[in-house]
Amino acid sequence: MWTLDELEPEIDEIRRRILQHRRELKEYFVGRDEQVDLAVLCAVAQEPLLLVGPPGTAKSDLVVKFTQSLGLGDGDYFEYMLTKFTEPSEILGPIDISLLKEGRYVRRVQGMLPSCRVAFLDEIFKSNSAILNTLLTILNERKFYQDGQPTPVRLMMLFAATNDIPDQSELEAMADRFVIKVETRPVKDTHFAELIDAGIQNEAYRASGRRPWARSTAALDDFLKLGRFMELIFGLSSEPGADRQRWFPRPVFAEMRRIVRALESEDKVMVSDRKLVKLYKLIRISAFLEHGGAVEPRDLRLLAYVGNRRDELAVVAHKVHALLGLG
Amino acid sequence: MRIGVRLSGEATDVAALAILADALPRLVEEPWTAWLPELEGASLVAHPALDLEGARRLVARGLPMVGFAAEGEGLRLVALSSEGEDLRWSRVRRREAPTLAEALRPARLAGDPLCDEALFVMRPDSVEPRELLRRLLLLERGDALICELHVQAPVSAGGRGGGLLDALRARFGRGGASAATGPEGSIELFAVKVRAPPLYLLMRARDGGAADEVEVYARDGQSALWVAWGHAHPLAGAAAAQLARSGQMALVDRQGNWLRGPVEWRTRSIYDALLPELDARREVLHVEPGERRFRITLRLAAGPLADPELWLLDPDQLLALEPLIASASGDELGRLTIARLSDGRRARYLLRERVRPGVPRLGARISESLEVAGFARVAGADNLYLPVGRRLSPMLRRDDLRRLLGLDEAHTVIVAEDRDGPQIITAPAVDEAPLQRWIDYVATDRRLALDELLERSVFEFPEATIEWPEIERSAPQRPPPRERRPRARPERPQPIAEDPTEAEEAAPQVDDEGARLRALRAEAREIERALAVGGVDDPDPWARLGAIRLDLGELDEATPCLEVALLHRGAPPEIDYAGRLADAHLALIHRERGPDLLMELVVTDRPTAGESAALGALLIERMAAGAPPSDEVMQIALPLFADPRLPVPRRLAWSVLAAWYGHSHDRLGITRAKEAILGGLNERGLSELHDLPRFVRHALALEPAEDDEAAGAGERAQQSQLVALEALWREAEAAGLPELDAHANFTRLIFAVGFARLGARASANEIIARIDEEVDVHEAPNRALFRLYMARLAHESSGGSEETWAAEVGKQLDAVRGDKPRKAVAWLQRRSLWLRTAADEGPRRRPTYGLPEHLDPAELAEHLAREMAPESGNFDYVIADAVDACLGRALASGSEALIGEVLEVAERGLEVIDILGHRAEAVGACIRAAGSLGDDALVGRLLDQLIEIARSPRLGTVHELVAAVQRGLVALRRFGGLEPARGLVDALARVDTYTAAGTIELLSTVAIGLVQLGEEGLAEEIVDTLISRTVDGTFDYVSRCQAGLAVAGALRHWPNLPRIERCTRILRGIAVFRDTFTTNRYYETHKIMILEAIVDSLADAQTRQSDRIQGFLDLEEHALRRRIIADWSALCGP
Repeated sequence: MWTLDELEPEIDEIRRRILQHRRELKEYFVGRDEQVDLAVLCAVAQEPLLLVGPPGTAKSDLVVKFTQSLGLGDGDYFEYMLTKFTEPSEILGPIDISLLKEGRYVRRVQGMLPSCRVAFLDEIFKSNSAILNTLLTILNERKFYQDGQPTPVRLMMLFAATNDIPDQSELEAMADRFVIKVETRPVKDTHFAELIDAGIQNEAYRASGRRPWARSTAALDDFLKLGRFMELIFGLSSEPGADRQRWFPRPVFAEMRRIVRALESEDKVMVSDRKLVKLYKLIRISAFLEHGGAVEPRDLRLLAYVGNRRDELAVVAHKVHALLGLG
Repeated sequence: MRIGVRLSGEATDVAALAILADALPRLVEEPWTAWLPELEGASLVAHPALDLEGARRLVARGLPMVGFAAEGEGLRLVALSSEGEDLRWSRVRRREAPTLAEALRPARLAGDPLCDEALFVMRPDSVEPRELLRRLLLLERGDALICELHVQAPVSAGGRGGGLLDALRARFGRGGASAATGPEGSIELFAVKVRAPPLYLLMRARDGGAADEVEVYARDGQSALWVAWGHAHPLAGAAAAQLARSGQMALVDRQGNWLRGPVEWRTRSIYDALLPELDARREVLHVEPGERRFRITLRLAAGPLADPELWLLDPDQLLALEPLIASASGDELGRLTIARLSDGRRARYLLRERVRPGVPRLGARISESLEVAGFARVAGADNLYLPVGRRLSPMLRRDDLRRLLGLDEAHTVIVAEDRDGPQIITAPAVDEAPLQRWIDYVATDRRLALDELLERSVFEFPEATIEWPEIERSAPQRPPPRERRPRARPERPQPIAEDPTEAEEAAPQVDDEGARLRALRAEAREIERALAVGGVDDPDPWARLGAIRLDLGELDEATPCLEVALLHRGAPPEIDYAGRLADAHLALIHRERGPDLLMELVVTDRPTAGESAALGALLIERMAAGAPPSDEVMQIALPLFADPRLPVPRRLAWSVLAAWYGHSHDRLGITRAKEAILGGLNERGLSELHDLPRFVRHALALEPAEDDEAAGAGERAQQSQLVALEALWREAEAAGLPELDAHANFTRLIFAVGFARLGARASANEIIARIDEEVDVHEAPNRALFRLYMARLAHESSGGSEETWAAEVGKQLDAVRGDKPRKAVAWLQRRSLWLRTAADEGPRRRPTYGLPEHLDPAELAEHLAREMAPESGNFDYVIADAVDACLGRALASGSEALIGEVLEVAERGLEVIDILGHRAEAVGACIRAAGSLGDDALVGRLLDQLIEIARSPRLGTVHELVAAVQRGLVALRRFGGLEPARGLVDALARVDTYTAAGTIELLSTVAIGLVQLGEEGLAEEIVDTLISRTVDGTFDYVSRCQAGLAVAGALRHWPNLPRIERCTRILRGIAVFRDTFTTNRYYETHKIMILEAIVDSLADAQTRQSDRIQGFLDLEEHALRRRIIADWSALCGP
């Protein structure tokens, strides 16, 4: 694992590469800058990202292109579309029947979710409780159980997509794990011609088997290094509040508090304790990624993605932008 | 030392001050002194009248009374109560107040409370107002008001009030010290008043900045007391009352300082305080004189369906009017006009319907009869006609249209279309005449043709007289009924006992065992009779029946009973039932218990139904025993029970799922399972193969009357049908069946086929014995038909396939020489119930709509809304099919929310479907979905719509309505909506549709529905009325036959006895079923059809049996639904 001394000399160069990578990636999409920004941020922070939107709004395309751009090796990427009939074996690997007959419940995880580094789960809320429970453990503790024994997973980045966020209390726990949820809306009304041009270009890439986005400036290691660097920075001082005092100016922090309270009280947006901590972390990483310094009021725009239900997403985004004076 | 009340600044102060006010009411309105330490919240208030003796009385009432004395800049407090402790406040500020309320410091409230209204007070020339207004506008709070209020400090405190005002001036006045001033001793404050203020703004004002330039006051309701936000006044009620008396308002800051002012302020909208600016370049566009016109091509596009009222006919098409003229009334013909036109090459006829308000339109009938779609008049243009269902697009102003098409110069303009595109047909002048004037000419013409035809016929078939020897005309003798001889009981083999004593002892044991088994069987029959009614959700009788069957060694009979008992016992599963069930299932698949058995069953690839059931039983047993399998095992096993497509009994499947998810408290799991099982039920219902206990089939094969021992216990339906058919045959014989009579032979043959169907081949042969002898004397078509009936008789006896029958018919038809005789044979063969082949029945209507393959169920509602939107251009039948398909998919999902969502869209869009038949189809689909939700209000609304459709004069054919009614009834029975179902049939029973045929079809459907609902009395009334109207000649001859056929069809659903009675009535009136077809030279089509229908109805045991079995399954399904909902609610809440 990298140390701070190793990372510090190259961190600015890594930042530059990631930002350049982000800019390049945006060129392959129309009207998806916001989603690309968040995908990059979540990849650095190793936090799951949920894309919410109707079919045909480039959710899968965005994740697939992004993961291809990371230069992943064989078995590093896992992708699956979930339905209510999907069995855990399809995600976690089949149970080894020969071992099962000996009374051992061991899954063959090669090429499945527990063994990959980046995963994309489409229609995540349609899965059944067995899968959701396992995913919760994986997201929380980065491990899953093999024959009753906790086994670490390699998963670092999880992207998920859904057409809707069901309003079922049983799914709240999973929804809460996604600190950032972003809507993908159709862009045909605003980018009619560009959309067709880009779509046709993509068809041509597909037909010719070319993937120009895969020749990107940054690689998976860059994202991991930046994430590691931020972890080390957070743990630099053992004194509570040291990171906040140094990197989060008091007025900006007060602004964050006000916005969170306003969302909770007025719009009944549930921000759990866990989510609040993750938000702090994401805002800090976002600020560092964007301008390499302390958090500024504009970095609080990440609060626009804390809505839990689909109908909240647009309301929260509108309100946060209004409160931050972003129009 | 003085005496005072120590306040903590917390909620307890409210109670303490209430006691104080109660104990010393006169002091409340007198001046008090407050000492405020730096410690926020705490304070001390004192009045000169408070003394030690009075303080002790107040201490006794729980008041925190203290003695105090000044110590330098501070204050020393001595507690007067034993619980209190002495304190020293190092620095205090003293404040005089005119009343107790004004002496108090507001208490800090926890958190960031919301309030009804807030007043943001700030310096008008600082940056704060601009920021506040900008944020308010961004938050779309343009309702906020700018206030200018004059406030003053209390005057009774001398210079103190002036000091406060100076401080306020410095803080909130314009330009700092140069404050806005009002009347003497007052200050004008700039404030913004906001109802339901955004919390963000309140917090921002409180957090403040370095300048601390905003103060927020809040109030709840319409109180005149505004307290610093985040604080509450401990004597708020008294203070508000005091302000109300003085007609003032007050602002109370965090320290308790009061600023009074008038209640009414001058306010203005915040928009009045804005000076908006837009930093943008300006460009001005001017009017350019001149007019340019653009070429727009009109086209015909899909438009609303309307009745046609104009037809442009070729001479050939004109002749097709004849059947219509023959059937139309004089009044109807009076509404039609015709004109002869020419396009220079050929004659064209313009047929027009003169539309009269309030009179039903003929358009649809004419179009159907002519097979010409016709043209509909364009609204707003009297002489412009477009093809039905088309409109001109884009829409133009009426004047532009008139100019373009020359409407003013023409009598009639038609825009037709063909493969080459639109065509404008203009008739400058039209000489129209009533159609009735043309009728004589057309009719005469046809009669001449007919006469010629007759002449030719005579020429081809010269008259001949055939003499036949006298034949005895007695009816064939029936064999005497067979006597039932009691069968001699075989002698029971005697046990060979070596020891006579042992033999004597063994015999009573055998007898005892026999008696026990007999008693068990009698008990089982008793329980079965009670359970066969369906829907019994008491687990005890099921469990008892299962136990008896196990005792009798009938494992396959026992398992379904135990499964039902297990289901209705609910969670946690009953260990005893589960154990027995597992044993029975394992015995059925010949497996023995062992340590690896469960695992073997779990990992079995493609398990059989028996293995699946055994696995389910074992899983339940393990859970009931408190030793549930591990999560991993269940993850492999559960899909077998959650997939409704797999052959597992539904009740067992739910018992497994409910037990597991109940055990694991998995609310999402049980929700998904509920949706899967309910979706499967919605889609397929319970399976006759897997979910119907075998005894039910036997129990329901007995008619209730037959079940009665007095009527002959054990007699099955088919036997009684045979007796009934014999009775009907005797009735037919008694009416006379002359020899050498074609109709008599048809009657014999039809009854013979009936007997053959019931397995009485001997009776059948006996009846037709003489036909072979006389067949040659009959005309060729009849000879061929007799042979066909005889072939059918053999076919019924041998149980041949449809293909065999089609081949037989083909062979017989080919054997008929000459076109005319063959046509005559084919005429009846195609209409006859028994002679027709599958190909003669014609193709069934297939759904015209298919859902997109990968459509997400969550988008069904949206998809349906798009399909139902008027701009979709979909035809009505497509929309009806789309409603059905979308609701079907929603039902299959099992999600009530989804069904409700799609149903809401469907119901809202029903009005879009203009053709009532198709609307009825859609309503039927909606009823099914609403029934599954148990939404009685919605079901009621939909049923009302069906009734309204039935009554409407716009309803053309009733086929779709009848289909919708049948479908609705089936759904309501399945989902337990018996009351609404009764309501529907009851209402429809009183509906007369627009046509007699429609009424007949509808009433027979209603009668069937009533029988299936157990309302046999009302059903019989309807059928009796129909029979009476049929045989008394009320209907025309075609409707009469339709009515007879419909009644005979409906009677299939009746119990045997009333069925026989009514069939006999129809048979007695058979003479009225005459027809005017040309084939009646050979045979009477309607009589044969009716005779076939009543014999077939009488010989049909299957329909009635299916009804009863379906009735049982419906009730069972409903019970299972109730159980699923109950189990789910127990875990997830109602």
